[in-house]
Amino acid sequence: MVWFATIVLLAWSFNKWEYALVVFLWALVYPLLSKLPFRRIFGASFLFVVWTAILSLLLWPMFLQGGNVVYEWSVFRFTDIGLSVAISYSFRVGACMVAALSWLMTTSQRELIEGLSDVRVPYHLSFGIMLALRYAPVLLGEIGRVREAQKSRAFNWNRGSLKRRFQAFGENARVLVVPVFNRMLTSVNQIALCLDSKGCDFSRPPKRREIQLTRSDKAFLAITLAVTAFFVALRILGYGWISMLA
Amino acid sequence: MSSVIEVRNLRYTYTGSEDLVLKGIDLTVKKGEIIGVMGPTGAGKTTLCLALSGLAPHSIGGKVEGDVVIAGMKTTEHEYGDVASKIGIVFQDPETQLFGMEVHEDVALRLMNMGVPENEIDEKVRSALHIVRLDHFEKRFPYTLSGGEKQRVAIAGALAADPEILILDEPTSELDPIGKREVFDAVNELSRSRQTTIVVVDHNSDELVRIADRILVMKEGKVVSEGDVKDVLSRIGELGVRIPDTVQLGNLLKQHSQWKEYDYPATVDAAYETLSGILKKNRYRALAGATETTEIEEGKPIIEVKDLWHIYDKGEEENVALKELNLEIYEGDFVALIGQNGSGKTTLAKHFNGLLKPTKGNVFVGGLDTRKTSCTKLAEIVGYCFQNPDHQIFNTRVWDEVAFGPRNLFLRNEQVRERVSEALEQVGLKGYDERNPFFLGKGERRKIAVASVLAMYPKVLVVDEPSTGMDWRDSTSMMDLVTKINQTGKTVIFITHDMNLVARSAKRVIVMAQGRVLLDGPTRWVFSQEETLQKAYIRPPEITQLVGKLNDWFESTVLTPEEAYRGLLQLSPAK
Repeated sequence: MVWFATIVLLAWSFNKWEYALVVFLWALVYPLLSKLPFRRIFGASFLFVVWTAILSLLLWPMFLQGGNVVYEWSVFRFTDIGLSVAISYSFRVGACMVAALSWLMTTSQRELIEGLSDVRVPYHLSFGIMLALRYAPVLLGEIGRVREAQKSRAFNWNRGSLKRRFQAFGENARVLVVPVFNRMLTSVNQIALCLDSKGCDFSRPPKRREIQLTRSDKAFLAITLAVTAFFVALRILGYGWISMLA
Repeated sequence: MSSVIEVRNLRYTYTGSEDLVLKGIDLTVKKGEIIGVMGPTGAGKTTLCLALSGLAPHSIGGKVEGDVVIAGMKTTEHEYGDVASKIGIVFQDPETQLFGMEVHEDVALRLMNMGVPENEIDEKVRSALHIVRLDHFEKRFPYTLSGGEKQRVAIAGALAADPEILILDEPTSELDPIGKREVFDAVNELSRSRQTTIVVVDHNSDELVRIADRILVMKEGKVVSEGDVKDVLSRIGELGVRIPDTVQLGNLLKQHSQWKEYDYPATVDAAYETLSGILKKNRYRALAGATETTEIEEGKPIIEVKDLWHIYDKGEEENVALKELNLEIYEGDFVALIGQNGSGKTTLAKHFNGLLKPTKGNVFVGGLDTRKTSCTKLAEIVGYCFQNPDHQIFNTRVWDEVAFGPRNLFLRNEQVRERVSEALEQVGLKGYDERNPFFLGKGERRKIAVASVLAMYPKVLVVDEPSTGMDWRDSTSMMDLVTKINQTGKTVIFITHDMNLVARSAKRVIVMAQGRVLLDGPTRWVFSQEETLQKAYIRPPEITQLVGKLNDWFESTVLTPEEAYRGLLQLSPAK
């Protein structure tokens, strides 16, 4: 959790692309040291970074007109500041995503709940968040099955002109939403019953566990805090930030 | 032995309803006993489990009359926590019982809630996982486990707190045969080693009778039969419960005096002992049988699969779902696709209507290359009925639900009306037009799903798991419907784990294992290939296994108890 918090802090401290790249690379250290599955972490982050980069490159230069013009076409004007901020955004969002994924994949549900309760999140809410995370792949699977079932009855979400598709939006949504909602309601009742059978009482959180930090945990925590302090100092000294008030 | 469950005149009504779901149940269970509870859908089996566990009324409310005494505690007079400490309960769907990101968390959850000291939790979790044979699974993400493994984790979660009583409500209904066997073996071992009292509700009589000490049969909220496995099964008749093949054979033989020693053995081994004893004693002569034909009745191909590969996530060998598959399915075929979970059955079937496209190779449906043809177009040729009808039903009128497919084909209103009426009549739901599908039983919803596909006039009907979650009566009713559809000339392909349904209905069987076709031929020939079937972890129907063991007397493969009965009657004692 400390790792995730420091990465988010650093990611939103710099908008020069060189600095944001360094933060992104720093965010990769933890999953690499933890030997997390490369494809799961980097596969998801890579696509996200690419899409953020494309959107940023299209949108930011339109609003950020300060700096030297690099390329100009019709009403579109790309400046060095606009491009730098756009690229930095992809690295900043990517760094947060890598940190979030590696945090979730290396922390048990109980540790997450205890961590959230440290920042005053009520027990029933933190347990709910954990359940939502656990059941996200199940829900996606259900949505996939409903889509396939409707497709098998010749239903095509993308048929007709854009206007017609827009007009049919309500009907299309019903085709997907009603069965998914029905399945979810059935599952939620079952989940509630199972939680009761396991003696879950949300007014009485289970006893907390003493966290035992090993020497390597302590060393990594010290390095993380030192690196964060170093970057924060750089930011305070005025490095790594382009003023957008051109 | 002392009793740990005492139920006296139990009557139960759900909140908001006036109908009695349990109508005066009496039950006594001794320590260490395994009680099997059977009965058709709606008999009140799940409600009985909820009442025994104390969840009814403590969690779901409702009105309980009569007494439920668990380990000396009357459930209505004690806090739920006190009752729960004596009981573990496992439900049907493993997916809704696992909440953790790791197996360890799931197994430990109940212990944590009970306030068990930290140093004891790890030991108890390891011990519970050991009992269900999942050592070293602590760090695994539950979502990545197989169905059987997930259900065993759920059982471990109930066991970790060392309950005196374990209640299992249809724990294997969504599992393949290996998963079923794993769960029942674990339960049996538990009862024998820890003297845990176990109540199991299941439709799967073959596995249940193997481990149960006593059977309880319920119907419409009442216990209609109770006692020794053999006695109960020989008496229950038509109750929507599947009677083991060996017992069905006994019911047929009882009218003939020379077979009266065959006293309804409930397992294959016991039946073999009895039958071979009678046959040897009376020196029956062997019955010559015909050699099974390996030839499939070939017609005009409607589906052609050529060098088909399907890889879900390119680049990783373990995700290769289909490998170099070649087969043809003919017009009018009635094919069963069988194999373990993950063998590639559903992946193959989804290529038939274009839901999946080949990674390599081709699939031709009605002469159309599925790579180049849209799913919408292919839906006119291949109708695909999904396992769970709730994945498709979204209308509040049966008529609208069935009309959904034809409307997507942009047919005229009168054509749609004609097709809907015809389809509803075909599935036996004539007059259901205005009914709300959400208020119908699962068997009827399944038929609506079939009708909604039939109304598109497909040449091929694919039915995924026609029997899952249904009792025997609904399953056979569904298979009768599918057989009727095949008799109208349509090609039918069904995917199933239920070998009894395959033996009764299919003309041709395709056995899949690890993405390849292991066997493909007429049903009788496929079930005679016991050694090859073992490689796909498939066991033929019990009656086929039994007659296969009696190979000194029978040479032919038998598929149903009726066939075995006719064969036995043809045997004659040596003079």
